[in-house]
Amino acid sequence: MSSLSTTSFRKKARVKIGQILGTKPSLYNNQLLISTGIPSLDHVIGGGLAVGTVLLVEEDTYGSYAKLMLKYYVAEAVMTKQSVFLCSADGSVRQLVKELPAAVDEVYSQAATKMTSSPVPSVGHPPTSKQVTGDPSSTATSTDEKMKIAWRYQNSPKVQVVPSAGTQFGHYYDLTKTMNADIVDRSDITYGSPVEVGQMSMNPHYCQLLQEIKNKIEAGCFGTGQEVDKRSVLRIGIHSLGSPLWGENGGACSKGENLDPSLPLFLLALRGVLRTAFATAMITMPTHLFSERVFIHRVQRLADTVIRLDSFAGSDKEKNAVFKEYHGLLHLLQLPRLNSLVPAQPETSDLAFKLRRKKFTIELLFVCVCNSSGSGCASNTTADLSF
Amino acid sequence: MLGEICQFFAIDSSNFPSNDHIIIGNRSCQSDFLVHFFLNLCEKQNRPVVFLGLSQSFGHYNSVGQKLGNNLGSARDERKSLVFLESLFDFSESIASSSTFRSTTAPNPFVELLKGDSTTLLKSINASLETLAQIQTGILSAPVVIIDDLSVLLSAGVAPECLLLFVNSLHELVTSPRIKGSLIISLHLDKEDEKAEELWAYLTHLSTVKVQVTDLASGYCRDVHGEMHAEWRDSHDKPRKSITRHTQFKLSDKNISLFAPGMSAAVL
Amino acid sequence: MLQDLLTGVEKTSLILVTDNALCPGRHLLLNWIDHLGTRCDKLILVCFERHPDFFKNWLPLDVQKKMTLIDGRKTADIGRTNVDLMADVTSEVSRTGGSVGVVIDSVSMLLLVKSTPITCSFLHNIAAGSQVTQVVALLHRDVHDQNTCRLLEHVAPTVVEMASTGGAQYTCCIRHCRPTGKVLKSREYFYTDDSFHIYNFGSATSQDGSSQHKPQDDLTSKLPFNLSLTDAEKDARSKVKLPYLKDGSGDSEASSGRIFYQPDDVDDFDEEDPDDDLDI
Repeated sequence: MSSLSTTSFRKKARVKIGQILGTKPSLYNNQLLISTGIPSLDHVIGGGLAVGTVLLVEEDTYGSYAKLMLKYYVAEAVMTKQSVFLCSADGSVRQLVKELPAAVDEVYSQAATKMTSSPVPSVGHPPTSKQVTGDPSSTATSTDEKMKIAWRYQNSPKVQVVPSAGTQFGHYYDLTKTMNADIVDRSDITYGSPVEVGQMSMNPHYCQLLQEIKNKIEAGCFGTGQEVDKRSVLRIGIHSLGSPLWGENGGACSKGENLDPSLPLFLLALRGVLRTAFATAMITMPTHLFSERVFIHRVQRLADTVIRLDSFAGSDKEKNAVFKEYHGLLHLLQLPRLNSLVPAQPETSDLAFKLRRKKFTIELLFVCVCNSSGSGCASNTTADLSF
Repeated sequence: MLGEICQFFAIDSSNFPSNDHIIIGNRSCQSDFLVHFFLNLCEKQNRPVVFLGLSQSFGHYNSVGQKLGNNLGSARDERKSLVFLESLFDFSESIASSSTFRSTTAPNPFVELLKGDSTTLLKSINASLETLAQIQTGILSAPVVIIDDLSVLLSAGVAPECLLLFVNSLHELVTSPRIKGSLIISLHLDKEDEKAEELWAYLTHLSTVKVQVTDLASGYCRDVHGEMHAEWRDSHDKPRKSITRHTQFKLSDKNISLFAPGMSAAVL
Repeated sequence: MLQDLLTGVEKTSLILVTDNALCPGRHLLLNWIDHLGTRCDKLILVCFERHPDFFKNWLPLDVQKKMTLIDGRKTADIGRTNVDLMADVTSEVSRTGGSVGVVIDSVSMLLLVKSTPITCSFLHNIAAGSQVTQVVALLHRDVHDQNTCRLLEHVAPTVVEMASTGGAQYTCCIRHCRPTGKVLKSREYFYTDDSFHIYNFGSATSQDGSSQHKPQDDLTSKLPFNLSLTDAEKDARSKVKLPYLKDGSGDSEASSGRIFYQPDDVDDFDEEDPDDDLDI
């Protein structure tokens, strides 16, 4: 099977009855995927996050972009009516939930409900001329026109008209608008509680966290062994795991030179828990605080998908005109090798992220190398190309 | 895939491994395809296998096995020639047992390992070997014990000394003249991880065949995923001249292609 | 010196053979057992890494008869706990009448189960026994930290460090302390044949221990033409004045290069400089 093709054609997954909301099967192996909430990130990590795995996001130095990615993750859970379990050392996740971005499709779904006379075309089928009847409202007409002229591109995500928010995989969000508090309140969000220090050799915060995750999985019937009428997926979000607020001493034991095995052990135990549950974890971790590279490597190996954010904020790269278009680099460090010999091969590992007013996207890093003045490229020709 | 790798090892696939202690050191970021190779090879030979799964659950190996044309699920459940010890779940149990209530059932082997005692784990492997011995009566009845992968225990906080003792005892147990089995241990290595390197050095001294999988020194390449070196050392019952073999490889979904350096499809 | 140590001409009570994964010492150990066995009445072999049959099958019959095998691999056995191997070996030594040789492959397990100082004391005490001819122990340098290796090397009067191997040839570094106080160091090689018996000893002088490095003169002497210089020629060579090197003797400012050009009839000699309009 070839790796990611060079065309933009993407095989649309057929929507099956009884399928779990907000999931789709992977193109590479028989795994179930959920969206991270950032479609451009989904594309880069092989279509989406596999259910039962751990996504480790190594934080940028000040943590703001990692936190933003977590917001998208939770927002996606709300949009697809999946349950959420959130935890952070300082309770900041509660504030995070209040700042979720609103979905752009809310606008489209309003337009869709106005088109009552015509049945909304289902995903994957171009509309026939009968379906495209005019509707006086301007938004509907513009969408109609879009359908008429460019029905071939119906499947392209930007112009998608969605019957309901539940069956779509991946949404677009508007960062300038906050998600409606009612929708958030109606969703199932559980928070981790502060720890009671116990008598264990292992970091008690992690023990408590794991126990609560296990309780939530069991209570919500997410375990693969549990029978339930309507299957759903649990999204676990852990903010800044491994920061000093969790009692982590940068990977080292408080006494002696040994590495503290608590965090790797937690990740290993979490893997064991997730492999038998319909749950996925997204963990942000300030790995730049860890003193030993060995420790970082161990932690990376025990997660399934690993990406690292390198923001330009506060570094001299910010002033480098070559990187003017972007806010930071995204390093794809590891893709899951689950259920297959070979992971999805990334097209390229030169990725960058960009935070615009309304959205956050991951893009291929395009560095314009110009050797004559006055050509039509965005970057300054006298810029110093230093990498 | 099995055929190519057997050719590389230049062995008769119906009889390998035979009373061997094989260690696999993975210095690359590629998958542990050799573990899949050995597991599926033994299944094709209908050999009894005890598999200690420390880093992935059974579903992972089963999925890959199906792609290679083996049904590991039926080997485990019906033919009972595969005993899969799902140790991955022991880790989560170990944390749970330390917080609120203690499980009254059998002691958790991993908790015991953390305390420095490997006997529980050894007993469970021994018990699995005895179960298999009762079922298998064929010619190839020598069992194979596969561990994937030992460095996970090191990361999780087990003392290296405890692991050395464990490996030593397991080596004696499995390759003894009474059982004449084979032991295959997979390890993930990192040049900066001193403890893992020391463990690897000791395993090398104990082993009869050593295989190392490394990335290409020149970096990521789409057509050559890495290199594999194999070295044959002293066997169990007599000294042997050291023989080495070297190849490059490329992995695909169901197969692996092996070629000498400079002979990949991209170059030719 | 290696041959002398092996055959017993050079006496020493405790020998530490250190090796690493790339250059294992087990084959040397086999040969050592062979030689030691001929000199002693009894040989005690403690095995941790290979089954005792590995050694037994290789050795000649007369040595085999003298051997007492202690299988140390069951140190952490399921059935036997608290096995005190050291006590076993000590009692075995004291049980014999005549001279005893002790060989240990390897001390790694001892170091794990007991601490380094205890292992050092154990080796020292065994070697100090009156009926003990020699104790040979194998240590893996790459398994233990430097501190442990140093402590063990301190306790042993003789250390044979396996340095490198290339096919059948092995190179080792030997440090031997005589009872008189004299310390001898050397770097030697030996060859093993197909049956792993040592047959050729030699002193390795060069660092890399591979085949002797030929001095440069050998190459030039075999040629039909002459590449070397006589002394007079070397002298003349050193006196040659190179064109662009400044000496003190020449004029300090180099005369600027001047070009004298005489245009022909066909040359279109234009006084204007065509590069005038370039704005550099």
